Amino acid sequence: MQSSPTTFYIASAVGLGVAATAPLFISHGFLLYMLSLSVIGAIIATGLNITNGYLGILNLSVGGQVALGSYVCALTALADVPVPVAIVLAVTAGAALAFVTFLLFARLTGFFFGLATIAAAEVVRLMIRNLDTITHGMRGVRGYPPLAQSPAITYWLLLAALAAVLLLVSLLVHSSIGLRWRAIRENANKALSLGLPVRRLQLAGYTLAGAVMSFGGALLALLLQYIEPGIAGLNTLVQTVLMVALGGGGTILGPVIGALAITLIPEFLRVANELRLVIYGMTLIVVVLAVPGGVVGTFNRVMRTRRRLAAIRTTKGATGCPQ
Amino acid sequence: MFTLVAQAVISGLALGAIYALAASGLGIIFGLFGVINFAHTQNMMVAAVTAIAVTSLGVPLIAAIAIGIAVAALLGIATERLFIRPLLSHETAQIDTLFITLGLSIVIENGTLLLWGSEPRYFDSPLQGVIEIGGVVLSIDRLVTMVVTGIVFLTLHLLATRTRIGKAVLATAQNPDAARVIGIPVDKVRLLAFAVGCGLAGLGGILWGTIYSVSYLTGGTFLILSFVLVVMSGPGNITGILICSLLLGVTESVAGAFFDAKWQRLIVMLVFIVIIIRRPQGLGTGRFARTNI
Repeated sequence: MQSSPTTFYIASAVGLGVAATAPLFISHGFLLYMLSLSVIGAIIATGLNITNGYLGILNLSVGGQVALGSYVCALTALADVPVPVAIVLAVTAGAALAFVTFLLFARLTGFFFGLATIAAAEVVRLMIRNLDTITHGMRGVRGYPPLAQSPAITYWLLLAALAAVLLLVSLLVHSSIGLRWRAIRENANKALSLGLPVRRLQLAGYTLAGAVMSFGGALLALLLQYIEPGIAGLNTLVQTVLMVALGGGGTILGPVIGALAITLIPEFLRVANELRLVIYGMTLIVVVLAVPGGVVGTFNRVMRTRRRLAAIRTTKGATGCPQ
Repeated sequence: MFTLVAQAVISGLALGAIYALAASGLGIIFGLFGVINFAHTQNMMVAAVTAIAVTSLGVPLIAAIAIGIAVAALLGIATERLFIRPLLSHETAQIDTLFITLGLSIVIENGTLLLWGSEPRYFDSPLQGVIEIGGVVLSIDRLVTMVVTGIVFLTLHLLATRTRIGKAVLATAQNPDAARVIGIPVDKVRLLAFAVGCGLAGLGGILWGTIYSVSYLTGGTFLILSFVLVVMSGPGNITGILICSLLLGVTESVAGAFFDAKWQRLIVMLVFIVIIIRRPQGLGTGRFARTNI
């Protein structure tokens, strides 16, 4: 997909290196906190990008997956389970939920599938809210150990996590699996007729996406040091969808850029919390209206433009026509 | 014991009536347009909020209610014209409208929070008080809700089946292209139905406001339930929606009187998931069902 993967990896490594130096310049704790938050947002958005960007599946279960990861991590850490183990448990739980959810909804198409995933997320939220002997219900969970004592180390660990996730996704996307995923996105029926195991590939992608989102949820719990059932709500969904849509679905860096933008720009504008949500809503409206093909179309359009650019670049001749 | 059950049933019927008003609006829209308006239940909140705000300015209650419903209908018209109509020609129309109305819903909800604050507000309603029927004490506001909703639905039914406009709506729902061919202004008819649907929701919100209270969150609490009711009954099956709503309301109310109510929503969600898996087209095929998809 990239005309030069090596350049991409080098550029990314440099970018990550630069990002890692942030704590050296930023003594203001709040800004570092916001950066950490956007890194987590990038992880979650990258997870969503797997299904919505690369596979073309309308996955709206973000709230449920993130909340499950958050709660499994927080509750086990609260029970004195070591933090790394808590994170692994959270990721496993997320993968299991995604696996089961997809199997349940496998026969649904597009819009109805999306509606069903929203329902699934709502089920997660209600379960968390209702099982309050385990989850502390509406009171929320606090008092569990953080990722690290110092904000700088927390930030570096989160950056490392993001790098790992991006590496994993990048390797997958550039492999034959990624090729098949994109084939399914272009035309699932054609892919099926070509002999691709479409359902299995979708299942794999959906499960991975869920696992990554739950990973982000676990890290989110550790950073925020307080979680409540509202995490599973629509706000998480809208923010993550915006991150992917604005940054560019179907690309590796898109969700990262989107996450940075969505998390940081409102801070710089000194926007109050409620107004921020209004702006997210309006942005979503504008994106759908202004971009032909709407939110889903952005993903495809980005891909088509890059493909065209790559095609032009690989031919010799100034006219851009193949010779 | 009997008193408790009777009161729970009346409460439940009133609750179901409000669910029915909210859900049938959504059902009409889904039946005619084939798309989902995620911001639909915000009409309920907007109507109630407007009515309450207007009454505090001294406007008499009846006028305030009319204004509230009108505002909801206007909001509906704006939604249809600005946010839904442009998207209907997309091939991913359903998904696009989902996202855009999701965004709209967030804007309305948080916008109301900003403008109005987070405390629940109440109506200064003359419907307070109770009456006694057969030795059972029942609250007037719930009875009024039931009666009003009953009248509204009866009127709707008569309008839909006996008037030219009503039949035009039915025709458009059954087959928009054929309706166009015989000269029905499909776009205007759809717009009218959309506005009516939003007005119904507005009425539901106001009635809710007379019994309970209204806050910026009110829209969201009805949203998923309205979806469930529409999907359960089938897109245009208004009668089915009415029946399911009443059943749901009574079940919730009676269960809440005797058991812990917090599981009710979860059970509803699970039922929704089961139904949507086995029958994405809904349980019933109503008069409004889209026949050319």
